Amino acid sequence: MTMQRRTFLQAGAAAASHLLVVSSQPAAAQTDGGPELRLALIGGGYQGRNLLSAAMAVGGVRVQAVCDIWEYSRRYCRSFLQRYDQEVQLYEDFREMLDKERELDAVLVATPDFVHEPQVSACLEAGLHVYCEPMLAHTLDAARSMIDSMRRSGKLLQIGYQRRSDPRYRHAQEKLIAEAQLLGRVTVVQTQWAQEAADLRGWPKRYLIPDEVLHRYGYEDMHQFRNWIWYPQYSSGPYGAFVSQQLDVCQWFLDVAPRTVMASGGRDFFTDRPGLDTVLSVYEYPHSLGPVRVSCAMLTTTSGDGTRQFERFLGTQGYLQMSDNPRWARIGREPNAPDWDEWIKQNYVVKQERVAAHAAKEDELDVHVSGEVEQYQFPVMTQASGCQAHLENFFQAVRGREPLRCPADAAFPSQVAAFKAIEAVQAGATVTFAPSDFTT
Amino acid sequence: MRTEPGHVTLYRQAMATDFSITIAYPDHQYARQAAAEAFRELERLEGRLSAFREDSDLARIARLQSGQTCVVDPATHACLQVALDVEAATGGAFDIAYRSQPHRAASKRIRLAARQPQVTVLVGDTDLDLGGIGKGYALDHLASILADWDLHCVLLRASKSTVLARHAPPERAGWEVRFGTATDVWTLSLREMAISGSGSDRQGPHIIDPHRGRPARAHRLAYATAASAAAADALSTAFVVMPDDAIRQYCQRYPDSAAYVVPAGSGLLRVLHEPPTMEAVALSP
Repeated sequence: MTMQRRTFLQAGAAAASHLLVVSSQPAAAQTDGGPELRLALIGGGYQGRNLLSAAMAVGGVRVQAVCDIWEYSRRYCRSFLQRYDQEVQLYEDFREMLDKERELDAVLVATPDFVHEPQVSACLEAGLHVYCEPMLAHTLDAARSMIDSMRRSGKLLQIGYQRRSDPRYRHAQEKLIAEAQLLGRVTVVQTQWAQEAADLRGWPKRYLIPDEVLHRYGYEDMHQFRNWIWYPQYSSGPYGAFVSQQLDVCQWFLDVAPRTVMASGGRDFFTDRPGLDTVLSVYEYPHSLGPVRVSCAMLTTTSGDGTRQFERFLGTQGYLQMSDNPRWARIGREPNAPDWDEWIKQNYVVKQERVAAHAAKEDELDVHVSGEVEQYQFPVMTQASGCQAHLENFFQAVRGREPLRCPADAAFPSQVAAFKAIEAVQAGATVTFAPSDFTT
Repeated sequence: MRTEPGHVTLYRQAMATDFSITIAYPDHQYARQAAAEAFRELERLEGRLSAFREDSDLARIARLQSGQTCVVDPATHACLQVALDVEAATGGAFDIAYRSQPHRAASKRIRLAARQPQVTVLVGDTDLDLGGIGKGYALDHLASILADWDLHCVLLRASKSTVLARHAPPERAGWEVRFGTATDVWTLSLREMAISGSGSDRQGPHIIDPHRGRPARAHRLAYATAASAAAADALSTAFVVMPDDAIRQYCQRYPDSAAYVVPAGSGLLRVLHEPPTMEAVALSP
C-alpha cells in the first residue's frame, strides 16, 4: 500500500498511526545550536546544488565561498545563495580559495572522483573538516591517501553515503536486523540501480569553458567535462558512483566484507561511451550465520518496472526492501514465520491492513488465502531528505555533538567491493578479495 | 521524443502529469540536451513541491505547529508567493489552503519571509494544495532553464491543461494553441504568454469553492491567460469559482489577462475578456 498523502501531511496522523516523525524540529529552530559553521563548496554541479539546498534547510551555516571551474555553476550557486541572504566569494581554483579563505570550518566537495584526492587532502591539511560525495576517489590508492590525510590531520572526513543517516535505514539496521533479527537468516540480497536511457549531457553554448582552462584542470574537452562519469580517467563509472552506495548498505547491514565477486557487463547500448552501461554482479559475503549472496544490477537503459533503486534483503523469516525513495520501502513476513505481534507492540513494524475483496458476512467463513507474505510498513517517517540528514550529522559532528555516520574508513570497503566487480567484468572471472584489499 | 521539421518535442512524467517541451531550433541534439537539463530540474522541483513525498517542503510545512518556521527551497517560496498574490487578486477564489480545517485562507495561515525563503505557519494543521498552480510554476521554471541555453522559441505543456509559449517559432506570429470544449473548439496564437484551463470535464467536479467549501458551480470550464504559467494556472482555477461579474472586475484591474468560460450546463465557450493584442478564434461552425 502506498502511504496516503494525508498520512504524512498531517502532524496528528503520525501519532495516530504509530509513525515516528524523525528530526521533527523545524529547520529554523535548529540554528540555536551554537555559532554558525562557515562553509565552502567545491563543485557547484547538480550534486553540489543539492548539498547547498540541504545545507540551507539544515540551517546554522554560512556558505562563504564556492569554487567551480565552470562559470555557469558559479553563477547558479551565487544566485541561489543570495536568496538566503548569503553573499559568497567565487573561485575557479580550489587552491586559491584555500589560500584566501582563512575563516572556514568545513568544505563540501562535490566534484568528479579523480580530483577528490587532491582537493580533500588539501582541505584536511589546511585544518578543515570535509564532506565528500562518493566515490572517495577514482583509484583505491587515491582513496587510501585521503584516509591517510584524514588520520594525519585529525579532521573529519564524511563520505556522502547518505543512506547511513536516513532514519528508515537506521531503524532497519538497528532495530529490525541487529536487534530483533526479524528476517531470520538472510541468504540473499538483491539490489537494483536503474535509470532510463538518457542522452549525454550538453552545455549552454555561451558557457563553453576554453580548452586551456579545461586542460589546466585535467579535462580533455567540454564533452568529457560534462560526461566525466562515463570516462575511466575521471571516475569508476555509474557502477562505482551508484552501486557502491548500495554495497555500503550491504556492508553496514551484514557487518562483513565480501569474499568473492563475479560479474558480467558491457557497453551494451551506449557504444559512444567508454564506460560500462550495464553490469550484473554477484558477491558472496561470509556472514557468521552462513554465506549471503548479493546480486547487484546496474542498468542505465531502463527504469526497470519503475522501482528504480532498492536493496532487498531476503531472509528465512521475512524480507526487507529498502530504498531512498520511501514509496518503495517495505517489509514482509514469510507465511510460516512466527508472528510479529511483539514487534508490532514495540512499534518496530506497523502491520499493513489488507483490503478484502469483499467483507465476509456473519454466516460466511472468513478464509484468507494462505501462503501469502504479510506486508508491513516502517513506523518511521522522515522530515528531511537523506542528503539533508547526512549533512546534519556532519555539521553536528563538526560541532562535536555526534559521531560521524560514514567516516571515510567506514566507506572504504564498499569502494573496494565496487572496484573489484569492475575488475571481474574485465577479467571475465571470479575475483577473490584478500584481507589486505580492505587495509587502509 | 518526436521530431518534426524545425521542431523537437520531448516528454517527461512528473507531478502525476505529462510534461512536454517543444523547441524550434535547428540543432536537435542541442535542444534535446537542454530539455534533459530542464527535466532534471523538474525532478528536483517535484521533490520540493510534491504532496506525495514526506520530505517535500509542502509536507514539512504541513507538520509545523502554529508559530513555527521552516526554511524551504527558493522555488517553493516563489511558488507560494504567486499563490498568495493570486489569492489576493481574486478575492480568495484561489486558495491553496481550501481544504485546511477549520477553513482560513492561505494568506491567514502562512507568512512568507521577504529576505529569505522561510515559511512561518500562523495556524497549525495547514494543508496546502499546489495542484492548481504547481504545474504552471514548473513550466515557468523550465522555460528559465531553456533561456540559459539561449532557447527561446519554445512551447511547454503540462498535461493538456497549461501551456506556456515563449518566442514565436520562425516565420510565425505565435504558437497555435487549441482550447475549448469537445463541441466548441477555439484557437489562439500564443507568444510570451501562458494559457491554462480548469474545470470539471476531465476529473469531475474537483475544484472547491474556498468560500463555500463545496465544489465550484459557477463554470464548467474556465481558461485564463497570463504572462506566467503559474498565474494562468491559478487564475483558471479561480475563474471556475468566480461569477462572470467578478471575473470581469478582475480583468479590468489586470487587463493583460484573457478570460474564457463555459457556463455550467453549456457546451459553448464565452469570451469574458481579451486584451487588445489577443484574439481567440472559434474553429467550429
